[in-house]
Amino acid sequence: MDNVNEDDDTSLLVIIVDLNAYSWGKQVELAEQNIDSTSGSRFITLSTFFEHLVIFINAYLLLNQENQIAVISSNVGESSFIYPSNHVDTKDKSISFKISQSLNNISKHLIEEIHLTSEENSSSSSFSAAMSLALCYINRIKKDNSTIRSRILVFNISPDVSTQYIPVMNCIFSAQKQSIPVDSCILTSTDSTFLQQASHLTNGIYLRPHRQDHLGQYLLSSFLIDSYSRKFLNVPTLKTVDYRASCFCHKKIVDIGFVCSVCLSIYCKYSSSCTTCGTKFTIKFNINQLKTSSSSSSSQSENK
Amino acid sequence: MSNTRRGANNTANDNGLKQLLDAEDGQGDTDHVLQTNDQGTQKYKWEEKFVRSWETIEEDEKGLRPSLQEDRDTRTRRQLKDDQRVRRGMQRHVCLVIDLSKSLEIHDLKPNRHQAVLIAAENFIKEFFDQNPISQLSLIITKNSKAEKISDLSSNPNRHIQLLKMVSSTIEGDPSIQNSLDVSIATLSYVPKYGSREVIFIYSSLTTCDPGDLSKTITTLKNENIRVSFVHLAAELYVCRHISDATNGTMKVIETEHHLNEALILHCQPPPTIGKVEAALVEMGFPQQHTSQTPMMCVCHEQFKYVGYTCPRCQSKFCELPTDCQICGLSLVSSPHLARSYHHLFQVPIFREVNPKSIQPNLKCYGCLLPIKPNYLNYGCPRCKKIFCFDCDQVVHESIHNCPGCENGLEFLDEKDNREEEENRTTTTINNNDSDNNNKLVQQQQQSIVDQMLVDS
Repeated sequence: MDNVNEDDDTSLLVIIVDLNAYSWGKQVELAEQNIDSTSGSRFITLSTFFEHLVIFINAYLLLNQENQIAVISSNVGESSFIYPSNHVDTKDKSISFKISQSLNNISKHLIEEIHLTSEENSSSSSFSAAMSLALCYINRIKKDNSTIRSRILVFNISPDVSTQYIPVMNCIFSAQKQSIPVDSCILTSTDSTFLQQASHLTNGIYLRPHRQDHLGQYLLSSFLIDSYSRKFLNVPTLKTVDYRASCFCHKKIVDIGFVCSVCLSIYCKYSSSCTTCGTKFTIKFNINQLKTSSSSSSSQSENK
Repeated sequence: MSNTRRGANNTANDNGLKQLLDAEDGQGDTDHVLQTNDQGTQKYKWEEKFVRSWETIEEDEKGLRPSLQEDRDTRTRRQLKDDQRVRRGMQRHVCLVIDLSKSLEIHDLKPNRHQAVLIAAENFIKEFFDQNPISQLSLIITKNSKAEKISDLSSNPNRHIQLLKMVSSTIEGDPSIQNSLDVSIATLSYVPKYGSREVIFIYSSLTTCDPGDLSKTITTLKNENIRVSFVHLAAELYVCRHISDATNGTMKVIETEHHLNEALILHCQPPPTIGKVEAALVEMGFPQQHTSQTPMMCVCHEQFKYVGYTCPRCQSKFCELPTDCQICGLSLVSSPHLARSYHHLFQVPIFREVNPKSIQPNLKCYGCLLPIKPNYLNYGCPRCKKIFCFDCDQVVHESIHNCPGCENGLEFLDEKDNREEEENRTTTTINNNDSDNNNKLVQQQQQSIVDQMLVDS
């Protein structure tokens, strides 16, 4: 009885799309360059990406009548819902139609923007905000329907931002605790360490397609499968994830580091004080110091 | 079991024989007798908490409506947090002392104190390591006027839970506070100076059987900078209150099983450090996961395994992180473990309750897009001024530890942050004086509409 239910479970898919105009602009340049050298293009442009995405969403919605979907855009300085949107649409249209319509609108805006943005405008998307919104939304849907299986699919194009490390890790741990897999699809030529860790910690799929002109095929064959069926299939896995930390002082990756006991900052060399929180470290105890500390604590107790 | 169930149906007899037969088949609709509670286990109606529904009603100009006070209280209790910038002992060393005396037989908690304590302790151990992965825990039980350490300081939750299950079946005799404190002191005295030391008691008995002078033990506790906290199942004992006060700990008496869980979970947040605590740079190793072609022996289980983490200093192999290298003593962690503890240091600001009258129609919760219900509790973030519903407020503070609104405008916020915080502070201080003149001043000062919507809680 239970097994049948597990098969039939509906799922909720939250798609986070990185819509960083600057990165997509760079992608266009790369796509044009690479067309000459190889037979197909290794990179895709925004409009073709949206075409593949809509095909994928359609396929997902056809899998089960009660499958639910949400699309969140992560943009520079602002992340917001694309579907369900804040503005009330005409109700009789299908979900996929609404999504493709709003994606069309966005792509028009973005293509205009691509030509305007330069590198000086920050090249980072607020991925942590998009993740937080996704988790809030999943929590709401879970309140109504507790058996629903939810997962997050991230399309990433802009590079990692080190200032977002803590919020992103917070989101990853929250997802891990609620056992929500975070799948990630990387559309650039460099790996994202954030998403590698996210997918590894939450048992999601991490994939960097080599031939992006066949993106639709990648999406259908690896990201369409629900978490239950993944147990029986050979899904792409990561062999090694680099969990080594990088030190705060030189941004070097360290095997053995020194960690401040107060604020947990990592240093590659021993120093006398912590630059993050300003604490001074005691290197060795003197007997005098011990005496003063014990006398101060005893005087405190007398006061009380 | 089937007998009592049938009896229950007879007393609540509505549908007569049919239901009785159905109940015997195990398919009957026995909802009005057997209810499912939070943990998914079934409960009889008379085992449930007595609800005084007539007391939770509020009256306003529109008539009677259910009161929100209880929800508000649970929220404030759960989000009880100190100031943002407090130095906390991030590397905690905790002794969890569990009273396994005769007094656990009492049935005031359901199903009895013994089971309730074991369930709560297990939940606490799991949650503790989830929130503080680089901290360490040791389990101590006290019964028969003795105290016994059942697990050494380590950071493997499964081992602790396993050991607890093995020894916890028998309850006998009286507990001893002093003996358990002595064992804790002996355990914690080896802890390096920079780590915070705590003892948490789950105490059930109203008596203690001590061999000597307890005040001497308290002085040692103070000297060693050990914080002792009590969670008592029945009443506030003078000795418990005295010890916890003297060592800057807390003393809680619980009301229900649920409250017991809540009181313990509050201890998962690292407490602010007391007095002058030494800081140090701790040497830590960040091993990488390796999959080898030939199996290698791991140091922890002494078994041959393919996958494992190798200590960067002495190349010995371990199965799980975090741990201390048994060969060279280096503490081995991974960077996510450190990151897991960061949310204690950078907390989400506590959201303030929004005045229902000032909510615009068609406003939606920023997190989940549900329309804001004006007659229910809604919260606004003091930094980004976004409005959240009750559920999202809970998720943001207890699970995600990020405010989605603040994350969005992070780059722009940082510049304004200091200035705005100062402004907020002035408005709140003026708000406290309730004279009319000041209210006018406040109205002039408040720049945005949302500021007006935020009610001081």
